[in-house]
Amino acid sequence: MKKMFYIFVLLFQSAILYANENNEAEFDKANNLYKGNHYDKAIVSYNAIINSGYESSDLYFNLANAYYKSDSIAAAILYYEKAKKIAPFDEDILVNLKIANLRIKDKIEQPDEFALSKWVNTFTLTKSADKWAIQSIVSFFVCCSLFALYMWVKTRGQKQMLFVISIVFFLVAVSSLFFANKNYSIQQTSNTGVLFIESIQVKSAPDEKSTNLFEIHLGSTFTILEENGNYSRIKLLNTNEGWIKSSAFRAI
Amino acid sequence: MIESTLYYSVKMKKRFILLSLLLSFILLVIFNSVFAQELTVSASKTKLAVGEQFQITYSLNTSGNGFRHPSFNDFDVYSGPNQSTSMQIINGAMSQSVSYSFILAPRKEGTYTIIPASITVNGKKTESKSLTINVLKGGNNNQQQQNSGNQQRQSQQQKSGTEELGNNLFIKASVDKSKVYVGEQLVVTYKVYTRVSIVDNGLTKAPVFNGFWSEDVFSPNKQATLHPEVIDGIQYQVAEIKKTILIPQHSGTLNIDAMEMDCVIRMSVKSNNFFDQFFGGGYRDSKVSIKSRTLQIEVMPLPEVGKPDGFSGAVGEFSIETKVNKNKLKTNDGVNYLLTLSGKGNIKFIEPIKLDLPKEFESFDPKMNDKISVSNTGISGSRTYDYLLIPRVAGNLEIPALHFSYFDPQKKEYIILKSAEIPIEVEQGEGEKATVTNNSSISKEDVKMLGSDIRFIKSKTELERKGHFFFDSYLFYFLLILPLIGLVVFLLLKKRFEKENKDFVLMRSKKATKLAQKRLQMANSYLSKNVYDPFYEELYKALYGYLSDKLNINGMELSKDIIIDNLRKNGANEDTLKQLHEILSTCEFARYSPVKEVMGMKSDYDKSIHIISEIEETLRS
Repeated sequence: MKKMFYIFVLLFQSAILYANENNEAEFDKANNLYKGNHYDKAIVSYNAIINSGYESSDLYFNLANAYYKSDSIAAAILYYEKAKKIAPFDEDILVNLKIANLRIKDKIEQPDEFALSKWVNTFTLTKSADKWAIQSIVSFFVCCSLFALYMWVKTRGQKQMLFVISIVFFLVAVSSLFFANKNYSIQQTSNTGVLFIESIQVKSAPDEKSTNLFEIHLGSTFTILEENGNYSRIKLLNTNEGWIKSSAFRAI
Repeated sequence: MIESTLYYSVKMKKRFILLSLLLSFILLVIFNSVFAQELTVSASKTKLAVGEQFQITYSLNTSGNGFRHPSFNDFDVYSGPNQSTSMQIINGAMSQSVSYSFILAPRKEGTYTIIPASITVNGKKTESKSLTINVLKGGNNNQQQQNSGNQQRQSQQQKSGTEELGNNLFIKASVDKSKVYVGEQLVVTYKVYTRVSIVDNGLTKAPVFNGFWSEDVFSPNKQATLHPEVIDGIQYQVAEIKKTILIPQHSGTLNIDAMEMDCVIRMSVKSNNFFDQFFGGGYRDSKVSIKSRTLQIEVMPLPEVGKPDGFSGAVGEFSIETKVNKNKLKTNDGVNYLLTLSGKGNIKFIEPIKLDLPKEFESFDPKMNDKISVSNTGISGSRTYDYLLIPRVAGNLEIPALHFSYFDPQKKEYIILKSAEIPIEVEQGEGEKATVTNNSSISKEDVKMLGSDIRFIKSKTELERKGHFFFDSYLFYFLLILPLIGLVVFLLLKKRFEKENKDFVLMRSKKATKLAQKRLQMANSYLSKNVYDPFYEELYKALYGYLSDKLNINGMELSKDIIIDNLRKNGANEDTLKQLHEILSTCEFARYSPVKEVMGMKSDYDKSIHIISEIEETLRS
C-alpha cells in the first residue's frame, strides 16, 4: 500500500516536471521572440503557456510587456494587474503598470484606504497563500511539540517557559492561517476589471435606456461589485459607481 | 439684538473672507518664488479694441535659451521680441531673470488664444500658459480722430493705394549677406525711400523673424533722420527705420517677413479759398500702406567634417583668455578661475564650457558675466565665466589647458583655441585634513533621463499550476491536523504508561508485605532450629526486600541512609527509624561476623516484625 503511494507521488511529480520543462522552453522561445521585436508572435507563445494551465508573475509581466509594445494598452494593463496580484511588491511590475496607465485617457486618483485595512492587506500580500499555509503548519507543529514537552517536564520553571512559547507559536499558526485564507480569497476572486473597448458610457441602471452617468475609456481599471444579467455594477477608484455591459471589460 | 449679532456675523464673515484672500495671496507669492522656474506670461491688457496696442511679456527668473514664441498671426507685431536680462548677485548666490516682450495690436475683433511660448532651462523645456485676448470693435477710431482732429479744416484723410504713388514711396529691406551658416550673424536693414513729405507714420506689421534669434540695433522711430540717396538718377530722401541683427537657429531656407507701414503723406492741392492760398496753399493728407519685399536667406548647416569634440556652438571670431586671482593658496581655500571669451559672433548662444579638471579640485557652476554690444556690424563683446575652484589636497597642482573651438564662417573652418596651463601651489590648510574619499563627491551629476520606456522582460520564471493552491489541498489540512493528532496520541500513550507504572508500584508494594511475611516465616523456622547464619540472612532479606519494594527503589541504589532518608520524608517516626537502623546494622554485622550471639535472635525477630508493621502503617496513611 505504502509502495503504491510512493509510486503514485513519483509519477505525479514527473508529470509536473515534464510539463514544466516544456513550458519553460516555450517561455524562453517567447522571450527570444520578444527580444527580436516579434511582439505578436511572443504574445501567442506566452498565451500558449497560460492556456496549458500554468502561470507566474513573470509570465504575465512579459506578456503585458509584449502587449504594451504592440500598443494593446488595455491588455497590457490587464496582464500587469494579473502579475501584480501574484507579486504585489515587484518594482518592475509597478513601474511598467504606471507607465501603461499614463497611456490611457482616464486619470483617476486612488483615494487613501483606511489605514488599518491597508496595513492588513499589504501584510497579507507579503507572502503567497501557500507560504502562509506552510508557515502555519510549521508553527502549529512546533506549538504541539512544545506542548508535549510541557506535559513531559516536571520542573515548574521549564513548564512555564514551554507553555508561554507554545502559546506564542499557536498564535503565529492561527494568524498565518488567517493571512493564508485572506490571500487565497484575494487570489481566487477577480473583482477588478479593465475596459477593453475604446469608450463606454456608464449607466445609472442595468438598462440601455437609463441615464448616462459618466464615460470611461480604454484601459480604465475599476472594481466589479455585482453582476446582473448582461450588466455589471462597477466602481471606479474615485468611488464613482454605475452599470456597464459585462462584455465591455475583462476581469483580472 | 438679533440684528446686531447678525450684522456682527456678516462682518465676521467678511473679515474671514478678506483674511483668507490675503492668506492665499501670500501663499501664491511664496509658491511663485518657490516654483520659480516657470515661464510666466503677462499681458498689459486682455480686453482691448481693434488696433489698440498692448504688450505681452514672457519672463523667466533664471537663465534659459532657445526661446520660441508663438506666431502672432492675428496681430500686428509692432516690436519684439525685445529681450531684457537682469542679473543679481547676493552673498555670492547669483540669480538671473530674463524677459521677452512684444508690442502687438489686434487686427480683427474676436477672442484669441495665444498659444504657449517655450524656453529651455537646464536642458528642460518649460512652457508658459496660454493667454486669452478679447478684442472688441471700434475704440481705435477715436484715437485716429483725435490725431487728425487738430489738422486743418481742409485736410482730409483718405486711404489710397500704393500704385498711385508709384516709386515715390517704398520700403526696402536689405541684408548684408544672403547665404550664411547656422549661428552666423547677418544684418537686416529696413529703409524707407520717399520723394513725398511724410507727416506721420506707424508700423502696422513688424517683421517676424521666424527661425532667427534677433537683436535690434535700433527700432522704428518716428524721428528717423533723413538723408539723400540717389537711385537710378532719382533722388530720394531715405530713412533707416529698423536695423536688426539676425542669427539663424537652424538650417534651410528661411524667410524674413515683410514690414508693413502706414504713412500719412501730404500733398498740396489747389484750393478755392484765397486765405489758404495766401498761407501756403491747401494740402491734402492721405494715408498710404507700404510694404517691403519678403527676403529669403539660405542657411547652411555647420560642416560636420572636422567638427571638434566639445564644440559649443560658437560661430564668429573669438579669442579666449584665462587667469586666476591667486597662484598660492591653502587646501579648502577657493581660487577664482576666470575664462573670458571675447570677439564677434553669437556669444549669447555659447553653451557653458565644461572644465576638465583633475579630481584634486572641486568646482562649482560658473557665474556668467556678459558684456555684449550690438552695433551696425553685428554683435560683439565678451563673456566671462567665473569658476570657483577649491583644491582638496596640497601640492603643486595645475589647472589644465582649456580647449575652446568655434566656427569661422569667413574661413569656413573650425578653429581650436588653447589656453595656457596655470600652475597652482597648494599648501596644507588648517583644520581637518582633506581625505581622498572626499574626491568621490566631485562633479557628480544627476543621471540624465534620455527617454522613458517600460522595463525589460524577465528571463527566468517558476511556473505554477494555475488555480492550484497548496492551501486549498487535502494535504494541507492533513498536515495542519497532523501535529494535533500526534499530540493526542502522545498524551494517550503517556497516560497509559503512567497508569501501568502506577499499577506496577502498587503491586510491588502489595507483594512486598507478602514476601516479607514469607521471609519472616522462614526466619522463624530457623529461629526455632536455632540456626544462626540463615536466620539473619533471611531477616536481612525480609527487611531490605520489603523496604525496596515499598519505597520503589531498586536494589542497586539501596543503602541504609537512602532508606532512612526516604522513610523520614514519608513521615516515619524517629524512634522506629532508630530501631530500624539498629536492626539493619545487627543483621549486617551478624552476616559477616564470626561471633555468633544466639541470645538476641528472638528479640531481633520481634523487633523486625514490629518495625515492618510500623512502616506499613506509616506508608498507608
